[in-house]
Amino acid sequence: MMTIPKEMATHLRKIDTIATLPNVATEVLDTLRNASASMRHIATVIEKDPSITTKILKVSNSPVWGFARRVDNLQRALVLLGLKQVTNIVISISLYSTFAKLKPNARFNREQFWFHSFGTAQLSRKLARKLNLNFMGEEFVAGLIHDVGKIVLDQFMPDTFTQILEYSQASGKPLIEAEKDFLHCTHADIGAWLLSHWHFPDPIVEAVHFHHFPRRASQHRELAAVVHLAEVLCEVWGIGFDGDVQKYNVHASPAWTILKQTNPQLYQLDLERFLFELSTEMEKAKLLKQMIED
Amino acid sequence: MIWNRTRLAQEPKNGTASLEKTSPALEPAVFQELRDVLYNLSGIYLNEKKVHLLQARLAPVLKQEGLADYTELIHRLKAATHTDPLVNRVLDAVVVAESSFFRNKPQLDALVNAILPELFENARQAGRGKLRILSAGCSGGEEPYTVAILLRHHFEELIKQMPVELVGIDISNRLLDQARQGRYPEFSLKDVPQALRSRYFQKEGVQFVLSPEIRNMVRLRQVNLLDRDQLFRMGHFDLILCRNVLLYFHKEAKIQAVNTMYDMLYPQGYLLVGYSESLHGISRAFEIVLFPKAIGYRKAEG
Repeated sequence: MMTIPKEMATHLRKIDTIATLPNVATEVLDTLRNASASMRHIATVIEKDPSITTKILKVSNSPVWGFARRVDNLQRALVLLGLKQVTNIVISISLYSTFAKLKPNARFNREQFWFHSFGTAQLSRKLARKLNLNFMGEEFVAGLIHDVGKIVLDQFMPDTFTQILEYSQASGKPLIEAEKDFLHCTHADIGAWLLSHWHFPDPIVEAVHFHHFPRRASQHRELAAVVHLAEVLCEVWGIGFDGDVQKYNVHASPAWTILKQTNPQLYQLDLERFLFELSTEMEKAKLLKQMIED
Repeated sequence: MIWNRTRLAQEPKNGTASLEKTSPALEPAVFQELRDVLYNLSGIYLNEKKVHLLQARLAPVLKQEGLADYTELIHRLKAATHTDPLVNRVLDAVVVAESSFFRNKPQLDALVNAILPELFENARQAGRGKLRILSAGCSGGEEPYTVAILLRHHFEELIKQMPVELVGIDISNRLLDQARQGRYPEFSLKDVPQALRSRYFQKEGVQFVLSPEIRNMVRLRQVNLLDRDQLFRMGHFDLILCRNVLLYFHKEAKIQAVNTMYDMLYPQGYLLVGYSESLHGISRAFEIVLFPKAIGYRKAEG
């Protein structure tokens, strides 16, 4: 299903030797697919990993959520944050720890990469909430992981990736076009391949695959559009990863058209206010990133 | 009077700390409620980072109005109509209503990097011989003169081929006279880059005099932003700047002014309002275009 050249696929099959998802994340993802999974069941799964449990409590007590009382056990975190949010946190922590262990290239600005990723995750979540879209929290995970293909490129073919980055910068070509010239596929294809290899839910795989071209998504076009919009907003607000966007016409964008089709009331969204709140959201993203980092 | 832009005295430089002690603290939840009330009333959005500033600025208003605390102020504002003097007093306190040169850098960067190049190109393609820019509510001339300096500085060659007609309008003749004089206190030049300051301003005593080459680029006229006929007689524009003016209008007046400005724009022209002002619920005719930390309203093709 993924449009990945054979050669690249052979390369990617070695992925498990450099990065594996922690068990807890795999199990949580499994329970997610099982609609009847209870909170109690998820709690048992998570509690098997004490370090992640500790971190969840730490994150739950962050001012990002604004709970008045201390969250001191996992059950309470689940009740207060909800299944969706706890799952998001588990997967975020897992993904982060999986990739943070890797040693990035000199050209790869890890700090900026994760700020951009958490920013996209946070904005995806906020956008979905403002639009009353009923995702199951996939928007946060998809936002966080949308550029995972870049990490893969950076790890497996650092020289080529450096060349691509430099070529894109020198020629002014968008990164994905430069990637196509060199690899016959893009970081979005690679990221989607990896996530499906890891059995991530389809909506997330598809949103990551089409985060540049949400119209090409077949099943989860809205989710792809939300992640796309969130990423562009980050880029306009100065926390892009590969170059920032200087001008973006929201109302004329394909993502907006997609969202308008399914939400006839979209014009009621106070886009201005959403934009005014961006800096606050970016602060939250930064905070979340810090909590998960240490 | 609907369109009275009262200029706020400079915020006290050292007064903030002492005011905080005597004024009731603005709790986060109360701040948020106050922000929502003011947003609904005027379209102006207050950033969290401004809590302390807001507290310092509103303390005198509370005292003046004999209000015990911010909750009481919120109650009064909720019941108030836009013509209530209290609303104007509060808006003046929360918005830095004084004018100065080079206000809000992200908007000016967007103008220089994206909007003006796009507009020059559009005008050229449409076969128009010049670019027309309107500064609506130009008060002492700081805004249109800023644009004139930017044009002279960044588009020197281009404006020889495509001349720019810059018009500043205001309802106050007193302010327009000030603009014609082109004399400013040092404070209004605080954001002007040093190189531009020495190039375009001449110091005379405690004041700075704007060079005639910039002054001559701007035409100033007394026009009421709610007088549609008067506005339409000015013709069409590629760009309209109307920053921190509309927030003082009540909703119907705001809708009328925005609709008029929409009609005054050429297709694909831009309207810029204050950086924290919103036209949500006022007009759906524009496309929202984003620039780094700035929003532009664009008249759709057609």
